[in-house]
Amino acid sequence: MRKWTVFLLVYLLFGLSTAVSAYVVDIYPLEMAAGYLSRAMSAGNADEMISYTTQAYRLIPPIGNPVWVLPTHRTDFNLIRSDIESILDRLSAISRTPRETAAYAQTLNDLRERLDVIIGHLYEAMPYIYLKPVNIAVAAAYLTAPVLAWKLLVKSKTKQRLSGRLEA
Amino acid sequence: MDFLRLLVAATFFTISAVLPFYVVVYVHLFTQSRKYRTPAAQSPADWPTVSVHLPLYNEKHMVKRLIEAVCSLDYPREKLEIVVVDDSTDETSTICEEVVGEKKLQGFNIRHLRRPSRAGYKAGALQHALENSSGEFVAIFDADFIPPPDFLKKTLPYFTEAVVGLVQARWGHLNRIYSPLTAAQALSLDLHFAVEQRGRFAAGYFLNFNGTAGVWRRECIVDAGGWKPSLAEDLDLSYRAQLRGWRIIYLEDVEAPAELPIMMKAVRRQQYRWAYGAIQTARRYLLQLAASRNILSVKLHALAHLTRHMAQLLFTAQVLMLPWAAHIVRPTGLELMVFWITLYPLLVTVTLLLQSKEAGRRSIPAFLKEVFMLFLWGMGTSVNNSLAVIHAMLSREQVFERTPKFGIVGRDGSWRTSSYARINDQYIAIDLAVSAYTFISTIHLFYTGLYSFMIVSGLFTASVLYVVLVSVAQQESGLSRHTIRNKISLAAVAMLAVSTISLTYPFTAYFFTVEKAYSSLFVAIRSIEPNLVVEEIDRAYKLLDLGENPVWLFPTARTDLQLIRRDLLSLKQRVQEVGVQDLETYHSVLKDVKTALSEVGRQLRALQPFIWVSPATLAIFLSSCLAASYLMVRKSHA
Repeated sequence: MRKWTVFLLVYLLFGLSTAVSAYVVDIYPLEMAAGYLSRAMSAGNADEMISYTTQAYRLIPPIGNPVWVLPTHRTDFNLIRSDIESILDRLSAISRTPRETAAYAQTLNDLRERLDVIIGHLYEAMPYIYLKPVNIAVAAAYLTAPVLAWKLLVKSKTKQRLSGRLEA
Repeated sequence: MDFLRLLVAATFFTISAVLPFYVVVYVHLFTQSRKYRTPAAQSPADWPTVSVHLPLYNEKHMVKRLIEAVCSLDYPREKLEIVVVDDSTDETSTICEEVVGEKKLQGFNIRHLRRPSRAGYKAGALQHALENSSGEFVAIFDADFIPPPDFLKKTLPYFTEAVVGLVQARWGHLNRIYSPLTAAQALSLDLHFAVEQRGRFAAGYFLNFNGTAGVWRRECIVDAGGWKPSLAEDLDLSYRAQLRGWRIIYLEDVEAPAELPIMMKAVRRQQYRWAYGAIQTARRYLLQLAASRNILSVKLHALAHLTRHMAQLLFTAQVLMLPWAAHIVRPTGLELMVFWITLYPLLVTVTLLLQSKEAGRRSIPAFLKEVFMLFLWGMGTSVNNSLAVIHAMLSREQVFERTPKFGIVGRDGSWRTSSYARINDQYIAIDLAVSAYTFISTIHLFYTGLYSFMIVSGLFTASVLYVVLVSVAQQESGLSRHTIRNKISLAAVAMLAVSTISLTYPFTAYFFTVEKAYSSLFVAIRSIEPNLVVEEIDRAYKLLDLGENPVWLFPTARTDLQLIRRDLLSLKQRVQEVGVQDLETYHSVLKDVKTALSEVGRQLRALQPFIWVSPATLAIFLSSCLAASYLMVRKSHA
């Protein structure tokens, strides 16, 4: 029984560490990007918005669409990055104008709304990155491995028992 | 909505739409059960011949008690035949042989049959008994039953019509008070008889033989094809008989007391068998039932009856989907949907409160405790029963494993030293894995602020863990019962106090402070007075001086309190700089600042659970709760 408990713990820990490492590699950078975009949304002026948006931009993959089932343009990283580039251009332009003007405030407000949409699209892409075909295959192998091992064990035990009986 | 979310949402909502079917059926049976009337009976002038069949498999603690009880039946001895079919592999056979020998000397027509193999398990034993007996009627008792002396004279008069194939009596409980687990099972069985059997009989729906404490007409068994191997041979034969037009009578007034399993592993095994057997029967006869001439309501109730364990599989699937589905369900505003998930077990519990006669006999706290335990146990065996359903659907071959009993009556009797107490249960590991998953998902739901979903997930985790803890606690222990009883209560109470304090203090000190800052931001958002806006932003700024980033697991800039405070400062400056002379600028700046403040509000909502429950708080709370639960379970169940 103890051997089984140790095996179960090792199995669970292996699964957990694999899942966490997949998250750290694939999802966490996008979470951080969404975090910076959120910061940009609540920043007080254009300069700070530029700083946060630039940090987010660096974390988003340059190309590819993570949605592998019925993909749309919404989650195309290339398009998302080009939208962020336009936002950065507009922020750079507006940052050179006086802050106490209606144009400055309206531009920032407009860009905040656009950043919100981008955050939504990043979150939409995340499950697909996590559940990409390779990860699904690994998860399937992880779940079926103990079942197969169990079957093999039972089979070999049955064989042993049969051969034991024949010898007897 | 993208494809993946659509798929998850569709599955989640489909299950939510199917589950109420079982609830509606249950409510309907509840209303029907109130119409139950004891059918007309007529004592025969000449009592018919009866064979009492006693299938046994390793029942050394009860075999003597059973045979004594059956020989005490008040029935003409020349009309009574007792057949013990013994497949035992331990000392049960020796005990049985001795007792049967004694009874033979006393003039009873009793036989001890041994089979060369355990082929067909209980169904095989009953078929063997049927072929080796001649009574016009067949009474069946499991080893843990003690039939009352007047059992036959109270049941046989109900075979007034030739179409009556079976009379089923109600089960009583010999050890209801043994532990909270036996009390919960007793309540569950009471509910089965009081609502399901009564309701089905009153409405004329298909009902089932409960495997014991019933009398069959031999002709009915033969006509239906005899006993066939199944994990639920009772349900199997009941449906075959009813499909051939035979009727089953349920007798509320006749009670046959029996022993409830006291070990959690044994209960799980029994539940697994019942769930597997029901789906096995569904697979065998549902199509036949659909094509039969029975009316639609009979067919629908039979469908619910045979697939009722499917509800547990669906419920488990929904709970497992929660961390994925919750994020999709919340924006749709259908959060209340999640309460459908808990409705089924809750309804069962509430019905118990209304229906059970025990409610009137016992003190309200004691009764509520039983109901709570039933809720916990019912939900906790969901994984076990779901596995049984899946295995039955995949036609995975199963061995009929009898439920070990120890001859316990009331609180008396011991089981720890019995060889039957060693039960292998490999599925407990699956329960443990599932509870680990649902535990992580509960934590995830908490930290993402999905509190309403967290309740269901948390309850499920607690219930499954309860089942695991009881199974572990019932392992052999070196401590004496006396030592356990004296020390455990105090330790459990102390641990529960520690866990409560560990949650209360950070809630008031941090969570509520963030809540006040959040309120200030929203007062600033709704205000049109620049001075008030500045004042409220400033208040929030001061309140949020609570350190750096409270998110301890994969933090992002979004929840960094220092950055949040910096934003608040620059937003405050912008409001202070703008003059009211230029209205367009004034409104544009205020609008922009308010958009930014709304985002800060969302950021605060995201960090709130983390600032409340830090890793240390979580560790203290969970370890204290787990330790207290283990101690309480050990005290009450071990």
